[in-house]
Amino acid sequence: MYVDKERYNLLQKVVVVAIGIVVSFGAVRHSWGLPMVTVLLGIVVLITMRRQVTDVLHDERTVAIRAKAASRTLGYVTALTGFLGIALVELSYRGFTEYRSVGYAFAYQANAILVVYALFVWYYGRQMGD
Amino acid sequence: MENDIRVLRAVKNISQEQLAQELGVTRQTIHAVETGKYNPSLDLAFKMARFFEKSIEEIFIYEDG
Repeated sequence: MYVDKERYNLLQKVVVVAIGIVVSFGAVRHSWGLPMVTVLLGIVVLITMRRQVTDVLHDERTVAIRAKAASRTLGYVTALTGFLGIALVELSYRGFTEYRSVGYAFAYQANAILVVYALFVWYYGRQMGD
Repeated sequence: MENDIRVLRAVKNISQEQLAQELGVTRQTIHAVETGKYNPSLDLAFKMARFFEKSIEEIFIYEDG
């Protein structure tokens, strides 16, 4: 069966939405059997359909776009969670909030992201001649 | 960086979609290169040069700064 790019992209969106609905439903019902089956089925459907696509779905430009988007996301999310974490910890010490543990979680998460980022920079730097 | 991809494509009478298929990229990438919004990698630039039987310098005009 021939699947063109537009049809594959549409199918991808439908599968992701369907998985989201079933997983949400499972979370509300505290039932994980159906969501797990749906996720696996969705992956199988997407992989099967992906193999039928002969059009080019990704190239160097889409990779560059995603790299830029990922870099911006990393920067903003890390800065936001770091700031939020420090603010919550500080406010909890001053008695304005009780979310000190949440603050620490955010702050540690921001640090962890930076550590992982530094490791990847080191790894890819070595691969590219550092 | 400017380029003559659109002109060369017109000479060969092929669409962006056809050129994209020949080079193994998306039509959007060809459009982005033609309009100067995206500078292709050296790899893609060589592929384009070979396809149009030109040198890279004949297709792409590099301006300092």
